Amino acid sequence: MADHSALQIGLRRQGRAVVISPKGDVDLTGSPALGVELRRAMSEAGVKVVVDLSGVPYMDSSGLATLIAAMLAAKKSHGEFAVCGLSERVRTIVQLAKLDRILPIVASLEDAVK
Amino acid sequence: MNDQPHIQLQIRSNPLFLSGVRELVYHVSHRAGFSETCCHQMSLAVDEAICNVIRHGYDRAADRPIWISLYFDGGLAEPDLSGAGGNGSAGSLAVSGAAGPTKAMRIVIEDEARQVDPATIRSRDLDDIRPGGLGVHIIHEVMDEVRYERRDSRGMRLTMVKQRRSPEVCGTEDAHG
Repeated sequence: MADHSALQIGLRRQGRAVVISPKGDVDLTGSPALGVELRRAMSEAGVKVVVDLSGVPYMDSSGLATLIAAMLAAKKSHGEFAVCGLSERVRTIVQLAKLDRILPIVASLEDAVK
Repeated sequence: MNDQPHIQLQIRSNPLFLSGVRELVYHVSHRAGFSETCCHQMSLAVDEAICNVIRHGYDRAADRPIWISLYFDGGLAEPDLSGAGGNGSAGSLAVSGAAGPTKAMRIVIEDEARQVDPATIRSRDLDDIRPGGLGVHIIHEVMDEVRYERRDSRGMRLTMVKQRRSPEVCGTEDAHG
């Protein structure tokens, strides 16, 4: 049975990148907390924000909206933003929303933090 | 024709219940013979529909009613509760991909939120890159039929239908959730 405890959000620095690692389903319950962490990380000038989704088995459109908001905020502040670690299920939801050509999706965490 | 739902539940409009509803839809559709891809698609559609009710219908109020009704059109396999099943278990039902009578799954979501013109509920332009507004698009992408209507008394009703196809067809669709 899938683990549906509250979304856990890890945060660590790797080089000049801040890696945000949510663990759990990113739905309407967890998306607001993820948005708060993203905004907090982006408030720091010159930082690259990376969202590692390898611990996310499921995401709905509220999670997609959170990622889009972060991407637009990064563009506005001339910051950098990347997403990596998409599971097959999350990737298909991203494709359903036709966001695979819009979100900066990187193949691996190593590539993302470069 | 008996048009009573096979499953009906009422939840409050609290997002905490989303995961439980997703799990229910996934597991019962799996047992009715839908492919894993189709089961994921239906649970995603239900999640998106309930999110829309909570956010737009109830303005995020967490204590309003939402009704979810599941219909297995064509019926369900009769469970063998005699204990004489070949696998030694006390009773068996259809498993995913197995032959069974279910032709389609119909999911009805009802609420008591403010009524809107169903024609105004549509996907936004995906070229307009902004947060939000993707739920209706996703529902239309993964379900075969989608119909919004006003309820007689108050609130809205969303009816979504997913046809059961062979696992080979449904499981290899390009877009699945």
